[in-house]
Amino acid sequence: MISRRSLIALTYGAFALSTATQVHAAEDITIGMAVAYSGWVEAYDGEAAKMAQLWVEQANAKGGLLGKPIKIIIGDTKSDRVEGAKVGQELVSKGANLLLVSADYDFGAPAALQAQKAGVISVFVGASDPKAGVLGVGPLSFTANNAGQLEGAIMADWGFQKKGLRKGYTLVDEAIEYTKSVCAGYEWKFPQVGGTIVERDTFKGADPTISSQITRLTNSIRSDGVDHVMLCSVNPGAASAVRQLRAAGINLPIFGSTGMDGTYWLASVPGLKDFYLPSQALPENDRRPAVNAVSSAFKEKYGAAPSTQYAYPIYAFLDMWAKAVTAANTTEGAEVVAGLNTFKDESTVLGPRTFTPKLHIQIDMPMFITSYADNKQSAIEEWRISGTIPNNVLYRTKGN
Amino acid sequence: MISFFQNVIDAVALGSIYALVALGIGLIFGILRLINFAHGDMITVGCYALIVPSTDAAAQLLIGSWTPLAAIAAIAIIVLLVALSTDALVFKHLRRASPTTLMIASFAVSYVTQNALLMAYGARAKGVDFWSGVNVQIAIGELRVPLLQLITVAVTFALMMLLNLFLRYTRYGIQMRAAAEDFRMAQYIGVRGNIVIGLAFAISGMLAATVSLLYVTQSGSLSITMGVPLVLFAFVAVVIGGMGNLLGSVVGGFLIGILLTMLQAYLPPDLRAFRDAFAFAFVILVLLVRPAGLIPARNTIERV
Repeated sequence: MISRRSLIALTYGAFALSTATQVHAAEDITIGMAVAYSGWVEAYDGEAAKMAQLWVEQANAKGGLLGKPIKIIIGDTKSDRVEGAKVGQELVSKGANLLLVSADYDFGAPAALQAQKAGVISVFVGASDPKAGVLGVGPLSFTANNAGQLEGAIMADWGFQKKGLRKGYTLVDEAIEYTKSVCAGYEWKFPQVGGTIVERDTFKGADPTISSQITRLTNSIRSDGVDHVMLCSVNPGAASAVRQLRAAGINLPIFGSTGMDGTYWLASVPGLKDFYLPSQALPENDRRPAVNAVSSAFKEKYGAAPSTQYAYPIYAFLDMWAKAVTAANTTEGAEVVAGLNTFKDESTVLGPRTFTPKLHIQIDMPMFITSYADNKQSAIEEWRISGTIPNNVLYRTKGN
Repeated sequence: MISFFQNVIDAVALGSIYALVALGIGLIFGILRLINFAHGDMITVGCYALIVPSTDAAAQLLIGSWTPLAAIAAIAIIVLLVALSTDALVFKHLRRASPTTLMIASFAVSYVTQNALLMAYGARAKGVDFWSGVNVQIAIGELRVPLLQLITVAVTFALMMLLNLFLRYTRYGIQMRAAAEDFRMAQYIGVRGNIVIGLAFAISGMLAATVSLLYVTQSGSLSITMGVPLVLFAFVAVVIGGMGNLLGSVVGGFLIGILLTMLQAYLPPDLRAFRDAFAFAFVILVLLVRPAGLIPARNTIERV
């Protein structure tokens, strides 16, 4: 039996130990990663999480942040929303100063809400929905990515100005919100610059075939002179749609969105050409040496370069966060956010980025127009739209 | 008018795919009273079996690069074995269970299969360059018919004929029909239950393999859940056709394919997003008029 004295000693010992841990925790700066390391969302979170890890290593090599080392704590949301909330809460209670959450709004929000409740900043590693921020989660939440609308708007603008395209046809994958947002941006910009949208058609990514959509499009090309197709979809449905369009002999230029970025799916459409999409960064042969340096560091650490652009946005966001933390000299949520909100065209490795107190998503940054040919994706030029995407387009009210 | 004929061809081709899937589900249901939702995952297995198992983003063809005959045989054997193993590992132990229990077990098999594929191949959708040469168009007058659609329809009809001949004129076919009519009575007169059930799984596996090959040729894409929407609509096809009746499954499959294509083609733009809702409303209507399906099986009327 334990004597009373040893019990007291044990209690004091435990107390001393826990204080020591707390002091130790207060010394570090902690980034929590509540993302999917398993399950199907891993396809979207995995490389961004690796990139964040790389950023932390690089930052620590340069002396950390506020003179303290940055520590990473991770939790696997297992591609499950309920699990996401649990993991989010756990990491916040372990002292995360910044919480990285899943790339998708629906899957990242449960964890982000836990951070918001605790006064901790959260960032979606790749969400394209403005709800992934002030309106959906709260003022301490950000997304590292751009709004889907920006991608459609950039393609519309570039297509009109540089490719001389005048008659568009939209093919929207109705299965998810992102694809609808992309086409909403296109439908806002293309008529604005002087183009005509001849027809809008829909499909679902999981449909086994888009043959009736192809029949309608073929008629439209024949009778109305449609000169390009805006395909708002994500893989695998998007790759399948392009394969079927080309198989049907439709060789018009096709515009895609970053949901199709990368070359991993190109086997679906052998010999693909005249296909364009906007991208933030190319894993190989980007025009900016700084991006190539990040890609090679990634390749060195993980054995292969990222497969899509979705690995990169978090790197730029973490740079901005570190800048705001340094300026505020604290990791305290509200103070750092106040700093982040003042960033206008702030220079990052990926180009200028802007946050405002109302919008924690990029809606007018430049993107690279990339084209596909010879089994390669290459940058054509950087493109930035003029004018701001209006709120009714951004939030898709007014039937968009 | 041209586009109407084009739509009819599109509809029949989609109907063929659904008919093949429905046939695979109907066959198992007829004998086991098992609504096999894992049938869609057998299709997925067939698709993934074409490539090298790897979590790399870009897929490398393995069986898919073989000669067509070798690839067809290999995929058929693989899916057949996986289908048989679902029976041996799971359904065999539930022979006396109620149809509801069996259905829930099939969900479990589906879940396990999808996650096994996810572990072996990774979560990211993949692209494959499989039989892309078939993706050409044939001009018939002003109509431009995709060769693959013609192949799909031809393969479906050929398989239906073969299955019909097998069930009518071979010893095991007759035993399967007897078992579907009344399983216990068939056993009393000497039909070996496990052989008949094994055959049903084997044939449904081969049908799934056929769908895999046609589907990948068309889409050139792979994803872990690719079989799920197919099986969902095929199940609906089985229900409106008349559960337990193979002809009903085929008719239901074609009907669903034609219905979905025509709704997609002729609904006004604003309503197209609700295509599936219209399709299901039609299904409800059919079931209100004919609760046992269009061609009810004699022995299952009270079960539906």
